[in-house]
Amino acid sequence: MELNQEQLSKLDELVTLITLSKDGAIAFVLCNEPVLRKELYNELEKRLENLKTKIINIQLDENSIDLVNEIREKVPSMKNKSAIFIYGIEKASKAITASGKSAYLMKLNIMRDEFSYINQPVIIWSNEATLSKIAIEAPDFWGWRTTVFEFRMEKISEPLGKTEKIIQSGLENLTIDELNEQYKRYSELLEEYKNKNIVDDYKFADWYFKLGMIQYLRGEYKEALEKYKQSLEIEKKLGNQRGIGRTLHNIAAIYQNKGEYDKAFEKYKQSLYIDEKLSDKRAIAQTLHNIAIIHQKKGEYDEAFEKYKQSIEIKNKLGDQQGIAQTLHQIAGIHQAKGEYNEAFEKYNQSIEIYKKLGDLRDLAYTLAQMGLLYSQIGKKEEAIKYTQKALDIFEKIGLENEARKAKAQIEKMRL
Amino acid sequence: MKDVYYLFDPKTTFGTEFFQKYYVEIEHSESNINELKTRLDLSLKTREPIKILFTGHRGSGKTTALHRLISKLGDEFFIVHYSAFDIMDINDISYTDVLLSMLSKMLEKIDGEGLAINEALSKRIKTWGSTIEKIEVDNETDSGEIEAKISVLFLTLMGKIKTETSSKTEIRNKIEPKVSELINIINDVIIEIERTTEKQVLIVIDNLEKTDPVKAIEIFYKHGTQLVQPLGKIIYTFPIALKNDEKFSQIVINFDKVSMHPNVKIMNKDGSTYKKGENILIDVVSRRAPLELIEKDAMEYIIRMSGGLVRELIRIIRDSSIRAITRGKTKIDIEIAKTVVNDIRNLYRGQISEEDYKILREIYTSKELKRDQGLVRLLHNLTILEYRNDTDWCDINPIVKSLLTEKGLISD
Repeated sequence: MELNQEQLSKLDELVTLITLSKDGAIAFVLCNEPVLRKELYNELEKRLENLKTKIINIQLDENSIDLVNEIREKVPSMKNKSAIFIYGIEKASKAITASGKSAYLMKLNIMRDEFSYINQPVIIWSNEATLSKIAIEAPDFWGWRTTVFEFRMEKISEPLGKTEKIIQSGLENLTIDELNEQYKRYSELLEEYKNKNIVDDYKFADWYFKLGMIQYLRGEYKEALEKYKQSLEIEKKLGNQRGIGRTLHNIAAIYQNKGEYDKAFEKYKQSLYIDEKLSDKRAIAQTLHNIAIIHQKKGEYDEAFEKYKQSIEIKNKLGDQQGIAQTLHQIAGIHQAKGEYNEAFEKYNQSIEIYKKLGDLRDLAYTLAQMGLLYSQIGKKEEAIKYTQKALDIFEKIGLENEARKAKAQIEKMRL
Repeated sequence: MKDVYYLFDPKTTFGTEFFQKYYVEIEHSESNINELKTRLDLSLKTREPIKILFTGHRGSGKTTALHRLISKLGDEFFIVHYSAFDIMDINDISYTDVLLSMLSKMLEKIDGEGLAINEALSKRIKTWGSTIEKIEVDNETDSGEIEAKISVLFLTLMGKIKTETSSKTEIRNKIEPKVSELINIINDVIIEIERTTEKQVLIVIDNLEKTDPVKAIEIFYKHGTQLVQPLGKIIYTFPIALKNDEKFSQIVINFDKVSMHPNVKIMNKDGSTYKKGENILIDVVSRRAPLELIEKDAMEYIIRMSGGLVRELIRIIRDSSIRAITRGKTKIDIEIAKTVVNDIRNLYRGQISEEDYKILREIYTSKELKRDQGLVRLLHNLTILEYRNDTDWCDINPIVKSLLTEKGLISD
């Protein structure tokens, strides 16, 4: 795997910070993917060696208590130029006190002032989830930081398509023109029924839901949220649990899409509760899948993996092939991020086989594109181009222009 | 005696003319039907897309009851009533078949009544259909020629699923990921009907309960959530055996009402005769043939052996008539009835395992139904019959009872 231009220039900045910080500094490297971290480290090591700067690595774990002490123990008070890299803060911050907060982070916050006596730059490597936890639970410590260096792995499927799964509505595969037509139709029906004084709440709830769905698919999240809320209100009046569940689920998906993960979690939990009461296995599997995606985005791979596993187990029982393939695709992504390439290949391939069997071109294309990236990561240029080209062909065929454009750009880059 | 043969056909379920001539009001059954009618009438006002599971023993008169119900419903309903047999392969039905059958039958009725359906929707339906299966339809009718009826497309598709095993799997695999679209289309058609006719759609699917319990679990347990999504009122017939499956409580969550069509009770729970029930069955017979053709003791015996199942009663009489004709007799006597029942009993003998006998013996003493996998099978093959008065209770089929006596499991 090679670092791209953007990643390299960010790395330059980090090196600058390290060399400048004669009186110490606190900085963060935000990076979810272990495989990317490894690459970053190798590159850093090379550069710092040239600058005669030593790296001191400190690995934390569940038993770690006090960062200041650990640094003092491990870092000799020599005058040599060095940088302290801290790993494993994710694990160290897991144990919580009675108040529900991380004991380790509390300690870190209290001990903040001690850091002024550490003359080397302290670089803390963290995933996204833990970083936000530090910001909230160790605010004084957080306040002292200089820079957060954010590194992300390239992905073709994430910025391209929506990864959170909404409750199927039969609208997902429509073209934008068809969506617009449907929107008009449901709005007119609502109007017509209201004019005729027909109160048909069962249909109204469904129509508002559909309108929200269409707006969501068109990317009009704020408006979609409004419609869902209207639908939810009617469903509650009718006491229609299933309707309440599916609407909550889709509201959660909007929050998820906007990156408001806490709100999304809350709504998913509510919808999961209803799904379980109704024993709606399909919806449960879908919600678990989405919750897993949030964990994955935050770099909490263990939690994500667990939820994916639960989701796939249910889908297996249901024989939901498409759902299985989608979850396999996500699991492959975790393996890919961890640098477990064989497992990643295996899962992507399984996923591809299923999509082919189902004739699900759209999903197939995303997975093919992802395979292309994986090949590119391990330096197999020809294969990488081949797979991305396959994806490109499908994107063009089914008219996903944005995606096609991105895939084309990707191929150009791979050719370099 | 030949007339007896013709008139006692267990396959017959009543059409309207049969109805007027032969229908006997059965007290529990009638109140059951009226209850359903009330529930449906109430749902008119709220416009609730109510979903009903309708169940009962084989041969207890479910089909007749559904006809009866429909005949009592008013003009406010747009009723799409059909038998699963007509349009699906009863040995192999999937939930997607069921949904597709609703669409096909609604379209058929729309075409049949010459209702217009808006063009955009009609185009959408066709487009959806053609992504499932290319079917030759001449829709290039710019010259104003008669356009192929939209229902034809879907009925052809259903035909393929029903008869061609290879297309069946292929078509189902294509529908599966698009099932939400199918449901949307069904809903849009329902809305279209309701707008143009100002009636509310009621779909009644008969004979769906004939699917075997395993397939029925696939349909009703795994896919119950999909079956309740259409925004019309629907009555699904449902295998009675599943009522005693452990999954039943999960199944019913999705539906608004379970309606059990009762057997005619001819005995009380304590074993004494229930005269009223007997008279009903005698009435059923007398509507078809003069009672003199069956000797009194034979009649009593046949009624007892029917266990209150009208179809079983009719079958015994028909078989007896064949035997009487063959033997040159002009009446059905007790001896003929007994040999006929004996033949039927031998059929049951082959179906009952040692394990089953234990369950049957237990039922014989307790008369109580439990949730049990073993019972599911026994209810399905009519070895155990369920009755209803104040409380539900059950008994073993009287024909089977003597098998237990034979084995020394119960005393006479």
